[in-house]
Amino acid sequence: MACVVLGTDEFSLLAKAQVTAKGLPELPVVTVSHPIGGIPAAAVAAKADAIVDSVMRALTTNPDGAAQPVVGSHAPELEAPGDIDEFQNWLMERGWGDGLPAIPPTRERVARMLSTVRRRRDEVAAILVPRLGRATLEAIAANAVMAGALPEHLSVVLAAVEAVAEPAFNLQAIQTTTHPCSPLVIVNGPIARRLGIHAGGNVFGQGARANAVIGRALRLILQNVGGARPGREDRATHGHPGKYSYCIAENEAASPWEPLSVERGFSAGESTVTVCGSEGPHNINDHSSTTPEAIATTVASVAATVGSNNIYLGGEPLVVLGPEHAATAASSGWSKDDFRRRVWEQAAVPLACFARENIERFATIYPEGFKDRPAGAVARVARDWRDIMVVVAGGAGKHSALIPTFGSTRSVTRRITH
Amino acid sequence: MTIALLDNSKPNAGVLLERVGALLAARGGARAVRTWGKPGSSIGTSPAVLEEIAAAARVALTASAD
Repeated sequence: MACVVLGTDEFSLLAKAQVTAKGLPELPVVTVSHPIGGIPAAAVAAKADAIVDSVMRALTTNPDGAAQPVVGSHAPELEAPGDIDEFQNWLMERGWGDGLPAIPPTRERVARMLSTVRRRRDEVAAILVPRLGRATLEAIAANAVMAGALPEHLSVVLAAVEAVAEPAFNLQAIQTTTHPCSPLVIVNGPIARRLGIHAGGNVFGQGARANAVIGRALRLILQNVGGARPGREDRATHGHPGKYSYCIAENEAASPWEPLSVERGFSAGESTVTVCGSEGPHNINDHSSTTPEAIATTVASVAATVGSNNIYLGGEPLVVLGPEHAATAASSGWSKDDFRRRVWEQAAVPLACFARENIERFATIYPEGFKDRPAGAVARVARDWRDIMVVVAGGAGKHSALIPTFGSTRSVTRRITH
Repeated sequence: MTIALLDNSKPNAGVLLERVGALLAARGGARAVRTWGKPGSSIGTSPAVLEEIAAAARVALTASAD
């Protein structure tokens, strides 16, 4: 069958990367000028008229080729500059850096990194899209070295890599979307304390080495092995600062409830990572509320917005309760489920607040939520109350954080083997 | 000959595909132009739909981007 991919010029690099990864590097991509969304239909038709000759040419000259999925090859050993300053330039010129200084992944450092796991260095832990890159233990270790990780951090990084590769996470979309999302790594269990993964004050901020290097290692792996290069396959309109590094531990000691890992069936003695395709944290200021109902009202209000991916696409919006808010939310004997049910009930936006164009579009994509709804109907920020994720993290103060997620993704929790 | 259009569900993708499909059909004498969709732009097309397209059409146009 002859096939042509139509796209906009802004997305042509992503389209080419996709067809190459699928084993069809010759599959033609014909582009129009960006954008096609948000403009009148007549303007789109004019763009179509302008490319029809190119499409016809592509269809008649492109042979029917059989797909040969190309799995990314092993990273070869390369000679890099020994000078640390020159090394930074060398790395950035190849598109393998993130802008911050990186540690050279020498043979010795990679071997030291790998010494903490009993797995073969050429074992493939995951195939990472969009490049279909083989995340071997060796490639994971090399990127972890570059990120500044220590050997004891590798088991957490490894579990996070395996988690993002699970189908439910929808890594393909997370890696290539225009939406500003990045896997937030949430660590539970005894390993968090052992490695010093910070769970307290300024938890999303700077200052904790383990958080910084584990999150950064995952990002470099996603970029360099998964092939989501900024401005190329990674099509984020803005991105967010957590794309450099986004890793926390749950503050289990300060939580009135069971940890996320226990909620998901792991024992309290087990260590886990949970990856969550997340936007940056948005603050929830509430210095006054003294009851669970009142805290839930404030949290729900921050979550309920017509600009949220979750309200259109579902998924699991994440509430990161500061310990003081968590204590209030658990007062009167409220369980975590009681709290999330109340947040869900209140995190609703009247359809009257949505732009007509959005209602029309999502009436097709999510008819139960947007099609032919009665007057006064609302859209909820999650499809089910159980989809409201709640963890406790942070330090003293009357603040929490609301983290919208990509929507078409589910968080994934995996045991850390160490 | 049938031309298949695979709409990625992004706004106006269908408009672009239908227009190109119609122009191609007029030039190439296609019998029909049929559209298939995805459940959402961020979700891959199911193998069943891809097989259906392959069985039904000689030419396929699909969309990527906004």
